[in-house]
Formats: sequence, structure tokens, C-alpha cells
Amino acid sequence: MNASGTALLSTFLVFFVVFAFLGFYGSRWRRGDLNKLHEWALAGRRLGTLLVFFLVGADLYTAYTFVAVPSGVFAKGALFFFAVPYVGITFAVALIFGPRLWEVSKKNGYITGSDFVKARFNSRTLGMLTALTGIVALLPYIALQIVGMQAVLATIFYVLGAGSHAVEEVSLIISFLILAAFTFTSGLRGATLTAVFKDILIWVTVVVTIVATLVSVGGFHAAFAKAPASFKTLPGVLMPGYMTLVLGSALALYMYPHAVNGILSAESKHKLRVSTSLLPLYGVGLALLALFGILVYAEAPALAIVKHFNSGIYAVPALVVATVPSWFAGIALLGIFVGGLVPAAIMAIAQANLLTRNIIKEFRPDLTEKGESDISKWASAAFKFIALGFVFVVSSTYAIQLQLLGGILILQILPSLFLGLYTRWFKKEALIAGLLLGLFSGVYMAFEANVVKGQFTGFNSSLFHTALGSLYIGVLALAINLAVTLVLSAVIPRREQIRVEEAQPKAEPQR
Amino acid sequence: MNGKYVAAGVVLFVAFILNWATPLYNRVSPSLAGLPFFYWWQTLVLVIVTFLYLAFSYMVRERQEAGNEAGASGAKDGGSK
Repeated sequence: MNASGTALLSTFLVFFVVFAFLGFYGSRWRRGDLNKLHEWALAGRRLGTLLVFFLVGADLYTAYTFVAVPSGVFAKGALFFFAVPYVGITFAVALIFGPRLWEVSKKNGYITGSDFVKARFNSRTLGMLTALTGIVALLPYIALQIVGMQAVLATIFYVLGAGSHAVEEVSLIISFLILAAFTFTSGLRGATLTAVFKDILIWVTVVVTIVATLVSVGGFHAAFAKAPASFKTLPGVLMPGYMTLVLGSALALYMYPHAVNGILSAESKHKLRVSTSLLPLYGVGLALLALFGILVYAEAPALAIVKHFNSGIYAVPALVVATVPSWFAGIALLGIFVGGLVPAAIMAIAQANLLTRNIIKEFRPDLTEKGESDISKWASAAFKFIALGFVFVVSSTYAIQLQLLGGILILQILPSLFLGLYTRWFKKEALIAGLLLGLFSGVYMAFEANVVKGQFTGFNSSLFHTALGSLYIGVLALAINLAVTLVLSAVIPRREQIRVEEAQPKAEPQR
Repeated sequence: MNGKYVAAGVVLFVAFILNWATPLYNRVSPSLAGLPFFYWWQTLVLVIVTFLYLAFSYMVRERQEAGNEAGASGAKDGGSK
């Protein structure tokens, strides 16, 4: 082991211990009765502006930001910079739908999006399908986090001079067990505290590394001179793809179950709006990180690591170890590592919520609050391991496709969730048919888009060729979904509906 | 009352267009410190929309809501009903 490797590993481990402590300490912080699901999963709806900012920021800015987007920019240039305007628009979407969802949920004791959908359209089937879509859509998104963590560990082993895959996988599983343990004991509170810690590390990492890299490579001009010439702007043929990726991703983000959790844990509508408004600032960090995908072309030692592993996901970790002192590199790599870990925990918590409340409870309505909370905790651990399996079946340079695949699925609940907040006009049968057709057509197109000469080549593109150019499949499938929902809602005769949200007593005692 | 919401809607629409008008900002010059316009413009837009979104938040804030929050932050139990 060399000296710089030792320094790097030491700071990485020390900060990991601090992180683990915060995760466990989270269960004691602002103590509530953690045997109740809404305490465990929504931190008792008591998080103020700043904490919601950190919590939502933490689960929206993930390995997607630190690893997947830079990797895409490294491989394809301007196309994957779509993540920046996507972040710019998604918070407008959140400002429209978030406060309304918060208000309805608070009034009726909902803690998931499916709670709302089920009650609004008086349909257990639709509620369960919405929950199932959320659970499945999060699996590839969690897998993406794991790819990010793996990139960090592999980089560390590369610096230590031992880059074998077996060591990589063992470390990954250990980290995962720690994560599962702290999610299990502390729920959303633990995740919030670690999220604050993670964000501070990330901001320091981004600023220090970009300055160090710019000094080292001699500015953006030098970097763009060494990157492929086509990277300077977006090739015209990719314009429709770029714009639909922006639109689809922006609409999708706040329908993910973990984002709904973030909305519902706010203390008031106004605080929710203000913290949402501030979130685009996080996107500036995302934009800088995306540029690392171009800067890496001008930093030879970093480019060597990327080439060694033959994958763009190493762009940011490689630039970190190539440009900053090794003791700081340890801290920065930990930031990127927990940048995958924390969101994975938050997503798994959200999945578990959906499973217990919206699926298991439909069949076991007599479940106690304690039983509900227990199943949630175990399920959140289980889902993380299911997602672990995805890592071994994706080509890592296009890890961003994992998130886009999740997007194709989650977009299909838009008519029930977002539009349902504003209208009761849709018929439940129409929504179910639209959702199912949207899901099937989305998966079909995703498969079809990646078949080359009759052979499925791995999920490396989420654009589908149409007469209007190559468009994001999520948007196409949503269009099919909406068309079906609208037409069927118009032809199915209206029946007198009993509105569950008003007919039933409140699902949960209000504070 | 209605005018307020229309104005707030316009604010969100402007933010949307700033981000989504890709054909208008898809060019190299003027570049900033070697960074093509395409990249630095979209980054700058994030800062601009933060202010637009804050403006929106304060425009649609209801008077009653503001009063409730003052009470809630004193009680510290999150019960703003």
C-alpha cells in the first residue's frame, strides 16, 4: 500500500464512521414513536424548510448526478446535459402539484400517493397498481445508486493498487449491510441527518474538485479542445430527444414514491414551496459535475482510470483522485459514496411504505401499527437487495438509462396522481386501462429501441424513432396512456360514486 | 385575487420557456471562459429560475396560511390546523 493510498483510505474510513454514527443517532433525534409508520417514514411530518430542502435535495441529487450524468456526457456529449434543464423545470412541476398533494394528504391522513389515488377514484385496484408501479420503477433507480457506490470503491482499490472485482463486490455488500441496518433502526430521521452530512461533503467536493481540475487542465477551452468536436453543442438530430428527455424527466421526478415522501414530510404548504423553490440551486452543482465528463478528457491520469475500467462512470471519482490531495480525495469519495447510499435508503423506505400500506393491507386489513411498521422495515431491506441484482446486468457507462427506465414506468401514474389532484372527471376503469397500456407500450418500446439486427443489446438507449425524430419513450408511452384514459373516460357512463375520502373515518389520528 | 394567480402562472411559464427553448440556446458563442453558450446559459438559467420560483411562492401564499404558520412555529408541534 502506498502513502497516498493510505491517506485516502484513512479519511474515507474516518468519515464513514461519522456517517454511520449519524445514521444510528437519527433514531434518537426528535424522538417520536418509531413503531408507528408515519413516524418512521415521514419523521412525524415535522420537518421545516431547511430540512425538507436537504431531504428532498438528498434524494433527488444522487448517483444520477455524481456518476450517471457525467458518464453520459463523457460518452455522448451535450445530449446528457438534458439533466440541467430537467432540474430547472421539475421544480415548477413540484410547485404546481406538491402543495395540493400535501394539503389533501394532511387532511385525510394519506402517507403515500397510492393512498390518494385509491380514495380519489374509489378503486382498490387502481391504488394497488399505482403502488406496484412505484415499487418497480424505483428498482432500477436504486440500482443506479449501487453503480455509483461501486465506481467509488473501484477507484479506491485502483489507487491502492488492487482493483480486482472480487474485492469490489465484497466491499459493496458490507456497505449495503450497514445501510440496511441503519435504515432499519432509524427510518427517515436517520436518512435526513445523514443527508445533511452528505450534502455538505458534496458541495465541498464539487467546488474544490472543479477548481483543482480547471487549474490542472488549463480551463474549459483546453478540455473542449481535447474532447470530441461534436460535444460543443447539441447535434440537430438529437434536438427532439433532448427536449422530450427534459420534459419526461421533469414530469416524472415528483411522482416517485420517495419524492412524495419528501413533500409530505414538510411542516406547511408555504415551507414546502420555499424549499422547493431553492432546489434549482442544487442543479448548479449538477451542471458542474456534468462538465466533469468533458474535463476528464484533458486530465491524463484521470482519463487513464476511465480507460482502465472502460467506463464513463469513473469520470468524477477519477478526476477527484487525480487533482486533489489524497487526504481530501478520501473525504470527497466518501461524499460520492454516501451520495448513492442515502438516496438508496430513502427510496427503499418509500417502496416499503407502498408495499405495506397499499398492497399488504388490502389483503390483511387487521394489521396493527406495529405489524405495519415491522413489515416496512424488513421490506425496505429486501428491496435494496433485489435492486443489487440490477447492477450485474447493466452496462455501466449508460447507467443513466436505469433512471430513464424508471421514468418510463413512473410517468404512467401521472393521470391518476397529478391530474387526479385537479379533476374527478376520469373514470377508474379508464385510468386502469391507460396505466396498463402505458406500461406495456413503454416496456415494449424500450425493448424494441435496443434491438440491433434482431438481438437485444442491453438497455443503452431510451429514445424511440418516430416520424418526429427520436423521442423519449416515457413521453410516448404517456401520450398513449393519456389518449386511452381520455377516450374511455368520455365513453364510460358516469355512475354515482361514493367518495371514500369523505365517507370513511380518517385513516390515521391527526397530530 | 384571480389576477394574482394569473401572474404567478406567468412566472412559472417564463421559467419553463427559459429551460425548454433548446433551439434558441443551442450554440457555441458567446462562450464564457472557454465554455460554449449551450452549457453556461443553461447553468445560469437555474439561478434565474430559483428567483422566479421564490417569487411564485410568495405570490400564492395565502394570508390565512401565513397566520397559521406563525402559530405553528410557536407551538413547534407542526399542527397548523
